[in-house]
Amino acid sequence: MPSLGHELLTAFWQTIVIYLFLIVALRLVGRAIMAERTLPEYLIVALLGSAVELALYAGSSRLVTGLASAATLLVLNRIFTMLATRSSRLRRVLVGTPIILAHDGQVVPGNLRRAGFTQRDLLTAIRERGYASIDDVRFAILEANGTVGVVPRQKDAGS
Amino acid sequence: MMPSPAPSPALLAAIVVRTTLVLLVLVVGIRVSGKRRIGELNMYDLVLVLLIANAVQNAMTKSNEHLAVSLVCAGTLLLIGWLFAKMIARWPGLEPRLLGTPTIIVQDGQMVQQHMKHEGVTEEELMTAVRGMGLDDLSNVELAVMELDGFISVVPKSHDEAE
Repeated sequence: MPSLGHELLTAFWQTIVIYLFLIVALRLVGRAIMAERTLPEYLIVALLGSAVELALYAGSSRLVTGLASAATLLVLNRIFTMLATRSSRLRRVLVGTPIILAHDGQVVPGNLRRAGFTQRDLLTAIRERGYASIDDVRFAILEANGTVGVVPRQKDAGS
Repeated sequence: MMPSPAPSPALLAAIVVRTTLVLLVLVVGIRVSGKRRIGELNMYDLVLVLLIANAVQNAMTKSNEHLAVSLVCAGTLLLIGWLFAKMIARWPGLEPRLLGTPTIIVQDGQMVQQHMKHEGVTEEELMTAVRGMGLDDLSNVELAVMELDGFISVVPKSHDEAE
């Protein structure tokens, strides 16, 4: 049974190792993951913390397994990104694709149902973006990250 | 794991005390370690928050001994965060090296494919950010930049007519 002093020292230096490892690894993987735009990114960030939890304080064998687990998650993120860039079918499975909810002031009922949106949800989202009614909307799109993007109708099409 | 009997009032009281202690130590620790110079949550803050949350997870419900271990973890993390902030304040030249620099991914309506690939941004994610600004076409985008916190800033092309 290690003494408390020894345990605290272990916690101290293993915490430093994990911190530095994650910083360097995230730099290599790219900072896009921090914005958690896709479901895999969101899950991977959430799992990273749990993956290294015991590695923070529970002895050197835990340190190694924690680092292995964190590295695996970050490599998987890179692979998911690569697959999603290359294949639209895989993108649909892994991160989902945008769904057009309204177009030129008209609701697209089939898509609304598919997205699990009611008319009221849609109107709320439109108002939250600062538009009064569906008449002002050129496009309302449920994005893969769950937000609703609204492109307004313009009086003139712009330059 | 052993089957747990109903928790005694003393145990519940200890949990209340430890939870309060953990929260107080974190609030004071984060305040003392200093508000970071950089406003947005950068990679260093993200890792800090992620690790602190997990470090103290068991402190609230397990033994007093575990409380000490968790507090050492949290304290170490706050200390490193403070050190990095000090270092950057002292030697500003370190900042781009430690934090990286923003990356241009669209310039004058044109995607910079190489940068997009490097940052792992798909065209669909880019268009999501563009639509988030109320635009539906890259030709209306002056500039899109991936910031240090991973978010994509979109600057529309300015038109003469007002909104």
